[in-house]
Amino acid sequence: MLRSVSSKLNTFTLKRYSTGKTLVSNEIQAIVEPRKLDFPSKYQTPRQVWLESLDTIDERKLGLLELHPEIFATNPRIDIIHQNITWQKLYRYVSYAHTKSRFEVRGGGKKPWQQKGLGRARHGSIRSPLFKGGGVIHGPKSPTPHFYMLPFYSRVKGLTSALSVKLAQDDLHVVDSLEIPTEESSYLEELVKSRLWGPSVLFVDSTDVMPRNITAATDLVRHFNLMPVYGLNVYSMLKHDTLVLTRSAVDIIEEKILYHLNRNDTRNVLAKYKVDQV
Amino acid sequence: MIRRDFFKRILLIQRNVSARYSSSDLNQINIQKLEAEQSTEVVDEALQQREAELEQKRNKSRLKDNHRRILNDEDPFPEPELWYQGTLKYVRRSYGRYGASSGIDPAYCWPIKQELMDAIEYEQIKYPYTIGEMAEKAKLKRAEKEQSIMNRQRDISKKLEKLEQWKLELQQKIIKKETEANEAKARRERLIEEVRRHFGYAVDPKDEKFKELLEKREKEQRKEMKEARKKAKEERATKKLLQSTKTNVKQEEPDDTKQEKLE
Amino acid sequence: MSKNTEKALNILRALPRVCLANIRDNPGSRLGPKRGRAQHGGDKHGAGNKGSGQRQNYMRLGYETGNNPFYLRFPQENYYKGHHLKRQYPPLSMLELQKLIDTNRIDVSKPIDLVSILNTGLYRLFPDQHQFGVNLTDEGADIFCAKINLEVQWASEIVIAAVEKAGGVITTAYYDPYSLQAMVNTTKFFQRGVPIPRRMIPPPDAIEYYTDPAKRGYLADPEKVSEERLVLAQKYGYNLPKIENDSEYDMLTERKDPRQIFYGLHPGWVVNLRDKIILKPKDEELLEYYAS
Repeated sequence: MLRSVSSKLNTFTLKRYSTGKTLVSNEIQAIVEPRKLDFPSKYQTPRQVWLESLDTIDERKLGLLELHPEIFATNPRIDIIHQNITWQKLYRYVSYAHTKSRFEVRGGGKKPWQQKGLGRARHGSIRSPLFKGGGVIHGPKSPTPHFYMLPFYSRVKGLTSALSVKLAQDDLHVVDSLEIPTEESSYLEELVKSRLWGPSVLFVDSTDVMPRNITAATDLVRHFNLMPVYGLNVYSMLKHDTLVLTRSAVDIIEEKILYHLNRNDTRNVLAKYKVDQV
Repeated sequence: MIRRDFFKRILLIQRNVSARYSSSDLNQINIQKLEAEQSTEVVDEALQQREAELEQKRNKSRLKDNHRRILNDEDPFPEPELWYQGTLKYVRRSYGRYGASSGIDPAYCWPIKQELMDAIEYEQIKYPYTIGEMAEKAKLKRAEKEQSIMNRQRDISKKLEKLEQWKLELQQKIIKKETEANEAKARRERLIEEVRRHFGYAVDPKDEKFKELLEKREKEQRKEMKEARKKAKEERATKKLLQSTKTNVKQEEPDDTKQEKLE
Repeated sequence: MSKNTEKALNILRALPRVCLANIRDNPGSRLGPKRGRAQHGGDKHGAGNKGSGQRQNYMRLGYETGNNPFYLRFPQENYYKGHHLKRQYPPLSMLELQKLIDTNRIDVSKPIDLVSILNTGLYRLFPDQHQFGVNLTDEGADIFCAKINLEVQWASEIVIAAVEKAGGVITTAYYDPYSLQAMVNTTKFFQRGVPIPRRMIPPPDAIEYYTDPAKRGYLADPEKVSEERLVLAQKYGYNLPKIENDSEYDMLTERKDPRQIFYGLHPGWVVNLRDKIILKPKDEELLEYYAS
């Protein structure tokens, strides 16, 4: 069965599974229905990904899912990813550095010596920038916000680029759900190690209330993080080596991003960002 | 902490197990049972605390409650916390956005009595006339405007008729003025000539003597003119009388009186 | 998939993992901050020599160093008095309307009014800027060929003739600013939880236009309107199509009540988009008010 399927698959998605082990057809049981795209792309073939499970430490493939190429196989724009990360860091950054200008430095209200007659340079205050101990001219003023909004479609492109990069570099995995049998963190650590999932893993689920066991397991392990789908961002995707999405999370991501890529009322979204308006 | 609890639990379980299968000494059993009960209470409390913490940690949204509700399209403040959340406007808006799940009675959406009265009063003042009345008024206004234009046009055309006549009159006036001026000039020239002839051509016309004589002569001329005008008047009057006597032959008395007056 | 994308994704498979430490912007895409130093940008820093410019003691805006400045030269002119208070009807040409119909942005099988034109997203209206609706202009009147039931706010004779020649029906109707605000962003209006208002009657200076059958006003006598249709047909020399025999006669003759804003919805109703229900009032006073 694998041979027949393999001929239809794109070569680059199959490579990661050529671990030297020859999989026998019996091992692959299509437990889950294959996921088909609601709105397939007209110009590209969909990417395919194994649906895995976290039930056992050894990996078990439950089925094959299709991923939309416009989201998971776009041009990996590293510069847009960089812009997104800079934006994520800077938009909430407030610089508290502060230097005193000549009006803020203590003293310097009186003319230090008379204008004429002394042979000295003329001065109006001892705190002018010319003086030692005087004010700074164009120094930082606290607090200085660095808020700005990256254009909406740059942010959308950042998300799609990051997802495409993750999938291309075999760091994207889709899982049926985040249920694990124990609440031991060692279970997850062994699982991640055996599957060669990279030291840090980001688990993304469609709901924001995670199952009990995985919450307990990842509580003290700082390189395993749980995130609801609405918190998915470029910085987190790049910070963690592996990205693990649940099937429902993939559905939501595709629905939302495809809506934004194909909407015809972008006027509100492209308009200047107003802090007090939705 | 987890490990400590874990081991504690294992020890307690072992203890319970051993207690179950120990000797049938009542005291021993009682004491052990008491111990087990006590320890289970302690274990329960710690467990409960741990469970509660875990439940809290399961929420990975990092959002405030009201923000999380907004994200899920729910009413962010099911219980009002701030003063404006009790205003009609806010209540109506909550119903409009969240429907029946907001728990608001849709009856609040319609205007209350005071609002209704205000609205009716406002409309009465802002739109005092009906469509028909306004249309008629507009018609009348338009008719009036056209009427005033027609009137003005008529006046202008009337005046235009007299225009040619006024032109002629004006020309005549000018001619009259010119002729009179010319005549006066001619008279003055003649006088000057006369005086000159009297004095001789060597004398300056601006001399005093010259002027005195000129004045005398002017005065004499004016007297002559006056007399001539008087005579002309009398002639006109007599002409008129003659005419009237001719026409009114029957009425003799008024004619007699007129004649008496003259004489 | 484009060749470059395929190539890029394949290259990534051989490269190290993309992480926060090995990404950057495209070289040359960002210009660093320029400091004003030395010959270019420096020296006098664009302030010139002496004078108010260099000494940061500038002349007032509009001052022209003594001569009568531009903003004081021209006296007020009576002909533009009150121009900022007059009603505005931003134009929409018949050409644009035909394009909207041809590109399926407007459904011709239903009556077309301001709401359907606004929903295309290509015509915008701002009621708070004294804008009162669509002014259908005659550009493209010679190639207009869509049979529609159209409702605009201002139309000239040629436009009316063009629409009727194509077999359609045109009406001019007035909407007051409150109703217009409801039409411009209908979703936002329904989310306010407020009942649909009654449309107000036109102001006195507009009443003549909207009661005039020659302008197909919504307050005009329908019989006179049909007379005017004949008159126009004779004037512009086309055969007036008989809409009575048309299969879409019902759709073409569908009109709004003078107090109605939306087709199919009456004043006083509360529309809830969340529960997808319409609520109607039962109170007598309210019913009386909304029916007046």
